[in-house]
Amino acid sequence: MVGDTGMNVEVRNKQTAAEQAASDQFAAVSGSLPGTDAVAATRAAAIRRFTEAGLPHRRIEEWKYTDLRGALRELPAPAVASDTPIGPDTLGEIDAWRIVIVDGGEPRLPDGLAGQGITVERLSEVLAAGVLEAEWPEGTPSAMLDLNTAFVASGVTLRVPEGVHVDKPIHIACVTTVPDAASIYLRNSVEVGAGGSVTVAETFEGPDGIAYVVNTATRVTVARDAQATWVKVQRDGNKAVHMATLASDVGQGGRLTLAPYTTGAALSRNQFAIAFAGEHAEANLAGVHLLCDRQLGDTTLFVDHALPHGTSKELFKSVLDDEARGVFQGKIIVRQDAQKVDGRMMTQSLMLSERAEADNKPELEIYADNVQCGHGATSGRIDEDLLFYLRARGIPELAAKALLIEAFVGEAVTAIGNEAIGEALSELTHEWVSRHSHQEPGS
Amino acid sequence: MTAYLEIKNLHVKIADEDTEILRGVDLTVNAGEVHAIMGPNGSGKSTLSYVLAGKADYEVTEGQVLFLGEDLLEMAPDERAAAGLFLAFQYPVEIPGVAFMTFLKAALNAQRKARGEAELLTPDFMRMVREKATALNVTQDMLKRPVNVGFSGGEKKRGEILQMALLEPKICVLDETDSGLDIDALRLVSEGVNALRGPERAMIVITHYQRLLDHIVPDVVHVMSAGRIVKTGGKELAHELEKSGYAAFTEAA
Amino acid sequence: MPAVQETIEQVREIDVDKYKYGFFTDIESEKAPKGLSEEIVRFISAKKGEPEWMLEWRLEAYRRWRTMTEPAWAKLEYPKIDFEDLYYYAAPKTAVAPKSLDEVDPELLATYAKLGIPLTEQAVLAGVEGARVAVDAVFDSVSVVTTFREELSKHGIIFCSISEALREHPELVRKYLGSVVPASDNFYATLNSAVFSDGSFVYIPPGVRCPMELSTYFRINERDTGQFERTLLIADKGSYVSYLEGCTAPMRDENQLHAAVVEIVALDDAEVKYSTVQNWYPGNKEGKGGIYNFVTKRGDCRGKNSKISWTQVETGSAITWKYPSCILRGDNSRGEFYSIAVSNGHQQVDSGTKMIHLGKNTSSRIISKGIAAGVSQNTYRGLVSAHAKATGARNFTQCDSLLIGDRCGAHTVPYIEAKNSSAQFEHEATTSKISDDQMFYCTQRGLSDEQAVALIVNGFVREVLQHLPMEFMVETQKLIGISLEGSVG
Repeated sequence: MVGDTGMNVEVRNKQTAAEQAASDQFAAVSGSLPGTDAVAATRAAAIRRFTEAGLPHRRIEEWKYTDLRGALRELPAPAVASDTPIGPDTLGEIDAWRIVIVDGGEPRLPDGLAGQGITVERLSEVLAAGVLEAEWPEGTPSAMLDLNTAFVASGVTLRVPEGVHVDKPIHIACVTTVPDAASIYLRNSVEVGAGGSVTVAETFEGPDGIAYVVNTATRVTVARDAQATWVKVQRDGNKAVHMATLASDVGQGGRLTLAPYTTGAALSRNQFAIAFAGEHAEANLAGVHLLCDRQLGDTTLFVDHALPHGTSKELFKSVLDDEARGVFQGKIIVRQDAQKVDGRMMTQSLMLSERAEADNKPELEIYADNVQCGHGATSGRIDEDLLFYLRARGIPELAAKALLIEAFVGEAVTAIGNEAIGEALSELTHEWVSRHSHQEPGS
Repeated sequence: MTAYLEIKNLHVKIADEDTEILRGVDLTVNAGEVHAIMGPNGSGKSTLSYVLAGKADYEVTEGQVLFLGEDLLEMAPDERAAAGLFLAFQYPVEIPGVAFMTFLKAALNAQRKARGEAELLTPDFMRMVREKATALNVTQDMLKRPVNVGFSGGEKKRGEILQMALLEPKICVLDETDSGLDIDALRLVSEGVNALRGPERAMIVITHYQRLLDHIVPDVVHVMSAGRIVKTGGKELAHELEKSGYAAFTEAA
Repeated sequence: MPAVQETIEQVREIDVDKYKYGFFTDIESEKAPKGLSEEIVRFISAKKGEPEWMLEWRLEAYRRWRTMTEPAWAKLEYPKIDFEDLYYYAAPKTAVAPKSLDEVDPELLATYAKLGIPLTEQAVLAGVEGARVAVDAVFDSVSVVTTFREELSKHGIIFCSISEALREHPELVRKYLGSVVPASDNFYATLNSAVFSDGSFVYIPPGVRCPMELSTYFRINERDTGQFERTLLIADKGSYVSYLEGCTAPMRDENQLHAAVVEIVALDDAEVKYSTVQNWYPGNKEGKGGIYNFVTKRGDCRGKNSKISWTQVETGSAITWKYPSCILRGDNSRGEFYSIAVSNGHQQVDSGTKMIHLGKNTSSRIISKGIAAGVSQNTYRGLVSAHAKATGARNFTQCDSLLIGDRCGAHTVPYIEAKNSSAQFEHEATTSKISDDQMFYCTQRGLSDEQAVALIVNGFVREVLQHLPMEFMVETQKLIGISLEGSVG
């Protein structure tokens, strides 16, 4: 940043192989992508934007810690949709309305969801009606979203009518089974009508050893006095690249909780944006990174308080083992008219290995004076005093470590506020920790 | 002779809200008098003290307040202070980084300057503070610490009385000065207040309990309920209240 | 305590013209023609009678600079600077190597007297009890006079202008110049490397504790003049020095550029305290004029157990772009950054620090207090990083911002990068306004709104103020009061 590295230096590199591939693939498949002429025009505009801007690289401030241009050597062709009748492993045990999407194919919908009063449309139907959103709010636009707009053909659109409280979580399971490298584009969205409520869990999983790319875009709209919880569990394969863009807005008196839980993929980026569309609205983020080997996990959040009396609370926990890198960037902006805003952000990293890396950039941009905003960031290893205390009570070192790590992650999992999902995620945490609580060299 | 304080039909609501908190208060306080205002929670006692001191959150919708014959409500808070109105806060505010001593000197000299008096030189000021602080058991350490930061309940209240002693106001409004004090602290604070009684000074002591009035014996006791003074009597009224409770008066309102 | 009182009075007294240093001294000066070229670089070097290697160094920087573009990542907005429309060299005509104070232009001495600088040794002795300050004064581009040299030289301390150091101690300059801030470092530092005209040079020999505060005062006097001073400070093994820097400029309608470089080297067990009170002209109420302050300051804790502490009070300049940094290279070395940044009117500040932990068991501490008023923008930007080998690195950061009024902005942009697990970082930041309750409490005790703000703000910055040398503390409290004048009501 400062001085010697110099940011935002204009460098126009020539096209990378991945960038070239995107154009070529678009030329090859655009004719067969679903949607009306209007949709086709939107797609063409998106690929033009992508070609002009190229893949984001570290000289772009928001991508400082994740050099996608360098990391994404190849962009595989869009996957061929699969009809394999397969269920998800992730959150498969919880009682939920389950929608399954395999390899970016047509979503399989559960029976009885309509009985809840919810409208469910497949993206192909939405595209056939001529709708494909390309202009997303501040904090979300990026080359990855443009790629998604260009190629996306699958996903679901959920509408919860006014006053409807969905009885159990809706689980959108995105399962990848491709045998070779392929790109999977998905777009899911939920709109919660005034006074309604819903919890959606979007899960991603896929095979290890295959360099597939998931590119997903999500819209969450919370109307007046409505509530939505969007949990995103990412357990993609160890060679996968996972790119997610999520934009949300919260109406007056509404409440939104976003919970990204990331353990998968070699490289992943969550780019989330929260906008306030009404006063007295509340938004929460409860996020987790559990990363090992040479994984890079990046969660970048943009919270835009444009209206008064808003509350936002973010809690982000990273546990990093081996040579993993965890990146959290969180920016709270409070605009001039957004008086009496309460914005709190905390990001904490726990490093289990000497060679792990934690990069945190919590950011405040405040233009209104009557606010209470703050952020905190900590990074370090397991607290030796706590560890000693537990061991003095007879708990063996490894068990004590596991206990402390799970408690550390547990704070964020609890903040999601859904018991069934919380339990399932605690179980995932427990499994991960069991594999990673080891003796530290030299400790 | 002009009354020190004359409150006439004072109506007050919270700014931006419709609820009326004071609904026609009448009160006259003369030089040398100590008035106690008692009443249940929410009766408007603290609001009255804030309105007298000029806090911004309230709106006077009707009525008048004269302070030594001048329109008090037209004056800014610091002008009221310089004119001799002192509020001992129920919850004294913390000001990080500003040493108590610095604060005392800034306040005293600001008031002196506003009144066209010469500022005190540092040695004179220090001597004056030390004398008054000793009497109130305010330690040197407390004077060095930032205003009210990390002070105990008793220290905060002693700090308020020390300020009162230094600033030598004409009228003192003590808002629940007994809250959060144990018996010893209560005695110490009361002694401090009593030492400041005199023919040139008046006091309004706001309290919920009679016990403070055993130490600071009032000339007049008022009972406040639902934004009005509903009964006025001598010091025996406080004892009566202690026995019968506020209920009888609340109903009267 | 008296200082707060003085602050309060200052606020009250200052009425129309709040920038009291805004006078212009009428001295004949010698200028190079406007614009930048190899010829100008050669001219500057020749004027100073520099050795050939120095000219080559400058020319290389100049050629490099021609290929660079201005950084745009800071949260600052200003019209493009026309680097060809500036004078890169201006010197008071009489300033050619004064042998003693008697030879210095009396106008200049009067200027420094107006600035309250104890320039002459007598003044120092008479004015400040106990603490004595040795001063190097830089007027536009040229170092004018350095006091107390003889006494310092008894301890082996070298304190002189950098031009003189190039003549008298070329081996030292050559060894350390550009070793902390390389000539190619960044746009402004590179420009400085090409055209710097003067600045201060300090060398503290091994084991010497400098017996007095060293000080430099910078003043921009000429119109359309860029000031590019360069300071190089070397604390040899086991030495200690405290160094102060103050800056002022006359009021001008146009913007003036200041692009300084400060390099500090601390060898084993050495300690350097570097304090700055920056009060360049901030521009008028409408945002016209004012200094563009683009400064690169960096300290290298090169030796084990070394320590560099930056304390800065930033109240001036239309634009401030500076990040005094510490490279914590030596094992057990320590870096500190204490900052008060006050912005009012149309000022824009993007300032902070970099703490780069390279050695083992290095520690750093950052306390930053930003106060934004008027329509100003005040950004803290700071990097804390621990490299893979920097085991046991520790950082604590506390960053608080205060907003006065609803038309200003206060922003916090920390970059926290831990590349090993034993690094332990803690960062906290808050943004709020002065509480209504505090204001009411103060006004109830008789303080005016303006007095109350000055008092509360001085309390808010106390933790940083305490790190300033005594004689700067008082001045600083006044400055903060003046800077916030007109921010309430």
